[in-house]
Amino acid sequence: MGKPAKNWLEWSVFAVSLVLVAGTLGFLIRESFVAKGGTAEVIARLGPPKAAAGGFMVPVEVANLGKGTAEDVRVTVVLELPEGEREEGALDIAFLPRESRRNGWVTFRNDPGRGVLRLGATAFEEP
Amino acid sequence: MIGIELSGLQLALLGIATMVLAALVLYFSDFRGSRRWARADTRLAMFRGTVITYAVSLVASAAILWVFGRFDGMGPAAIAGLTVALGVASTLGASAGRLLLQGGNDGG
Repeated sequence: MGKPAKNWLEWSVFAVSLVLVAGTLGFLIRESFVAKGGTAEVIARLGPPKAAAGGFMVPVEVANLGKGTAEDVRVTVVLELPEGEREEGALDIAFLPRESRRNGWVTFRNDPGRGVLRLGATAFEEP
Repeated sequence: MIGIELSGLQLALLGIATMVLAALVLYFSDFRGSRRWARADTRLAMFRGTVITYAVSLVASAAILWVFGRFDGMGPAAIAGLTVALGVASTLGASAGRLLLQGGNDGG
């Protein structure tokens, strides 16, 4: 008894699978050239604070616009209050790949409305 | 994190190695049930089976990662990297796991 011939559905599944696998591997190879030698560029943005049970929560959006992955990202947020008072918070992110963004919150005891919120230094490691 | 830390070339090599692993399990390891359920008489048939197995594992990996929100905020390179990294384990399920399930139905 001979082998049964493959029908059009089986060949179609194979074609779609081949495109998917070749496309994925080709994309990764292309990425290795595009991102070669590049470093991460981490930027952060603050949102409007909101009152919470533990204090005042400030949303922070962090994005990596560079060509490399950033590891152990630390974004500091500083609240400068009148009479020289100052409160500082930090948001830590384990990994931030290129073209990716993360959202987090920093909580302050003092009301940000009383002072000026600004971003402090941002640090990260190259994996 | 492997999918994020490795370079694109390393991930592509990982993908190729995963396909080789799938081919070994399905066609060259005399795995339980492989003679009956994964028989391929030509190289084209082996290649076809391997590609389909790996594609299924990539789709399953991507679906799982997406459902659990691992793609949120991620760029396309990171998405592809995470999928390929999880695809190693998924491919074992798609190849060996499939043979074990099918072989279990006929008692050996």
